[in-house]
Amino acid sequence: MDAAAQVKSQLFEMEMYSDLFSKMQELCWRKCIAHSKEEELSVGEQSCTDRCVSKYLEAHLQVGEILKEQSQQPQQ
Amino acid sequence: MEAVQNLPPHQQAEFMVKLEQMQMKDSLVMYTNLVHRCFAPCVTSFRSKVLEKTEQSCVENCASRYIKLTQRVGLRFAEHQAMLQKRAEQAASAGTQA
Repeated sequence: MDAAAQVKSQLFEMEMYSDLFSKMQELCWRKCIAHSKEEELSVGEQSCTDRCVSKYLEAHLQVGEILKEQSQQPQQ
Repeated sequence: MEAVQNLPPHQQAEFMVKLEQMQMKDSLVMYTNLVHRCFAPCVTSFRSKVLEKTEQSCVENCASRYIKLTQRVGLRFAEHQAMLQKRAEQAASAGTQA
Protein backbone atom coordinates (compact mmCIF):
# COMPACT_ATOMS: atom_id res chain seq x y z
CA MET A 1 0.00 0.00 0.00
CA ASP A 2 1.54 3.31 -0.98
CA ALA A 3 1.79 6.14 1.52
CA ALA A 4 -1.22 8.12 0.28
CA ALA A 5 -3.44 5.05 0.47
CA GLN A 6 -2.09 4.39 3.94
CA VAL A 7 -3.04 7.88 5.14
CA LYS A 8 -6.55 7.39 3.70
CA SER A 9 -6.84 3.99 5.31
CA GLN A 10 -5.77 5.37 8.70
CA LEU A 11 -8.31 8.18 8.39
CA PHE A 12 -11.08 5.69 7.53
CA GLU A 13 -10.14 3.71 10.61
CA MET A 14 -10.28 6.83 12.75
CA GLU A 15 -13.67 7.67 11.27
CA MET A 16 -14.87 4.21 12.12
CA TYR A 17 -13.75 4.62 15.73
CA SER A 18 -15.36 8.02 15.90
CA ASP A 19 -18.60 6.57 14.57
CA LEU A 20 -18.38 3.61 16.94
CA PHE A 21 -17.83 5.98 19.84
CA SER A 22 -20.81 8.19 19.07
CA LYS A 23 -23.16 5.23 18.51
CA MET A 24 -22.02 3.62 21.72
CA GLN A 25 -22.40 6.89 23.59
CA GLU A 26 -25.94 7.32 22.23
CA LEU A 27 -26.93 3.77 23.07
CA CYS A 28 -25.55 3.85 26.61
CA TRP A 29 -27.15 7.22 27.22
CA ARG A 30 -30.51 5.88 26.17
CA LYS A 31 -30.20 2.62 28.11
CA CYS A 32 -28.65 3.92 31.31
CA ILE A 33 -29.03 7.65 31.84
CA ALA A 34 -31.64 9.36 29.71
CA HIS A 35 -34.60 9.10 32.10
CA SER A 36 -32.70 10.60 35.04
CA LYS A 37 -33.13 14.20 36.17
CA GLU A 38 -30.07 14.74 38.34
CA GLU A 39 -26.86 16.62 37.62
CA GLU A 40 -24.58 13.78 38.72
CA LEU A 41 -24.50 10.17 37.60
CA SER A 42 -25.61 7.79 40.35
CA VAL A 43 -23.50 4.75 41.25
CA GLY A 44 -26.00 2.53 39.46
CA GLU A 45 -25.85 4.69 36.35
CA GLN A 46 -22.05 4.60 36.43
CA SER A 47 -22.01 0.79 36.63
CA CYS A 48 -24.61 0.57 33.90
CA THR A 49 -22.42 2.78 31.68
CA ASP A 50 -19.31 0.66 32.32
CA ARG A 51 -21.16 -2.54 31.50
CA CYS A 52 -22.81 -1.00 28.49
CA VAL A 53 -19.44 0.05 27.04
CA SER A 54 -17.96 -3.36 27.74
CA LYS A 55 -20.82 -5.21 26.08
CA TYR A 56 -20.98 -2.88 23.13
CA LEU A 57 -17.29 -3.30 22.38
CA GLU A 58 -17.56 -7.06 22.80
CA ALA A 59 -20.44 -7.09 20.32
CA HIS A 60 -18.38 -4.93 17.97
CA LEU A 61 -15.54 -7.47 18.00
CA GLN A 62 -17.92 -10.38 17.64
CA VAL A 63 -19.64 -8.88 14.61
CA GLY A 64 -16.20 -8.22 13.13
CA GLU A 65 -15.37 -11.89 13.48
CA ILE A 66 -18.64 -12.95 11.90
CA LEU A 67 -18.09 -10.61 8.94
CA LYS A 68 -14.60 -11.98 8.45
CA GLU A 69 -15.85 -15.57 8.53
CA GLN A 70 -18.65 -14.88 6.09
CA SER A 71 -16.36 -13.15 3.65
CA GLN A 72 -13.99 -16.13 3.68
CA GLN A 73 -16.64 -18.74 3.02
CA PRO A 74 -17.50 -19.50 -0.58
CA GLN A 75 -20.89 -18.16 -1.68
CA GLN A 76 -23.59 -20.82 -1.97
CA MET B 1 -1.40 4.30 14.41
CA GLU B 2 2.20 3.08 14.02
CA ALA B 3 1.67 3.19 10.27
CA VAL B 4 1.26 6.96 10.57
CA GLN B 5 4.62 7.31 12.33
CA ASN B 6 6.30 5.48 9.45
CA LEU B 7 5.05 7.99 6.91
CA PRO B 8 7.26 10.78 5.60
CA PRO B 9 6.90 14.00 7.64
CA HIS B 10 4.79 15.95 5.15
CA GLN B 11 2.24 13.15 4.99
CA GLN B 12 2.22 12.81 8.76
CA ALA B 13 1.43 16.52 8.87
CA GLU B 14 -1.36 16.01 6.35
CA PHE B 15 -2.79 13.24 8.50
CA MET B 16 -2.65 15.38 11.63
CA VAL B 17 -4.43 18.24 9.88
CA LYS B 18 -7.20 15.91 8.70
CA LEU B 19 -7.45 14.37 12.16
CA GLU B 20 -7.75 17.80 13.76
CA GLN B 21 -10.50 18.73 11.30
CA MET B 22 -12.36 15.51 12.13
CA GLN B 23 -12.12 16.29 15.84
CA MET B 24 -13.33 19.84 15.35
CA LYS B 25 -16.28 18.62 13.31
CA ASP B 26 -17.06 16.00 15.97
CA SER B 27 -17.16 18.55 18.75
CA LEU B 28 -19.44 20.86 16.76
CA VAL B 29 -21.78 17.97 16.00
CA MET B 30 -21.74 16.97 19.66
CA TYR B 31 -22.68 20.52 20.65
CA THR B 32 -25.75 20.69 18.43
CA ASN B 33 -26.78 17.13 19.31
CA LEU B 34 -26.51 17.94 22.99
CA VAL B 35 -28.77 20.96 22.66
CA HIS B 36 -31.32 18.90 20.77
CA ARG B 37 -31.09 16.01 23.17
CA CYS B 38 -31.70 18.19 26.22
CA PHE B 39 -34.26 20.53 24.74
CA ALA B 40 -36.69 17.78 23.78
CA PRO B 41 -37.37 16.32 27.24
CA CYS B 42 -36.95 19.59 29.17
CA VAL B 43 -38.85 22.23 27.28
CA THR B 44 -42.47 21.37 26.78
CA SER B 45 -44.41 24.63 27.06
CA PHE B 46 -44.22 27.89 25.18
CA ARG B 47 -46.08 30.31 27.45
CA SER B 48 -43.05 32.55 27.43
CA LYS B 49 -40.20 33.21 25.06
CA VAL B 50 -37.53 32.73 27.76
CA LEU B 51 -36.70 29.47 29.52
CA GLU B 52 -38.44 29.05 32.87
CA LYS B 53 -36.33 28.24 35.95
CA THR B 54 -37.36 24.58 35.93
CA GLU B 55 -36.52 24.30 32.24
CA GLN B 56 -33.15 25.96 32.80
CA SER B 57 -32.13 23.56 35.55
CA CYS B 58 -33.46 20.59 33.58
CA VAL B 59 -31.32 21.54 30.60
CA GLU B 60 -28.33 22.19 32.86
CA ASN B 61 -28.64 18.82 34.57
CA CYS B 62 -29.19 17.02 31.30
CA ALA B 63 -26.11 18.57 29.70
CA SER B 64 -24.03 17.89 32.81
CA ARG B 65 -25.13 14.23 32.83
CA TYR B 66 -24.42 13.79 29.17
CA ILE B 67 -20.94 15.27 29.42
CA LYS B 68 -20.17 13.00 32.37
CA LEU B 69 -21.45 10.03 30.39
CA THR B 70 -19.24 10.99 27.47
CA GLN B 71 -16.19 11.23 29.73
CA ARG B 72 -16.89 7.86 31.30
CA VAL B 73 -17.54 6.13 27.99
CA GLY B 74 -14.30 7.65 26.66
CA LEU B 75 -12.35 6.38 29.66
CA ARG B 76 -13.68 2.82 29.40
CA PHE B 77 -13.19 2.85 25.61
CA ALA B 78 -9.56 3.91 25.97
CA GLU B 79 -8.99 1.18 28.56
CA HIS B 80 -10.49 -1.37 26.20
CA GLN B 81 -8.35 -0.21 23.28
CA ALA B 82 -5.23 -0.35 25.46
CA MET B 83 -6.12 -3.90 26.48
CA LEU B 84 -6.58 -4.94 22.86
CA GLN B 85 -3.28 -3.31 21.95
CA LYS B 86 -1.51 -5.16 24.76
CA ARG B 87 -3.07 -8.44 23.68
CA ALA B 88 -1.97 -7.88 20.09
CA GLU B 89 1.58 -7.10 21.24
CA GLN B 90 1.69 -10.23 23.38
CA ALA B 91 0.39 -12.34 20.51
CA ALA B 92 3.00 -10.81 18.19
CA SER B 93 5.92 -11.44 20.56
CA ALA B 94 4.66 -14.98 21.29
CA GLY B 95 4.57 -15.54 17.54
CA THR B 96 8.18 -14.41 17.08
CA GLN B 97 9.38 -16.59 19.94
CA ALA B 98 7.70 -19.76 18.62
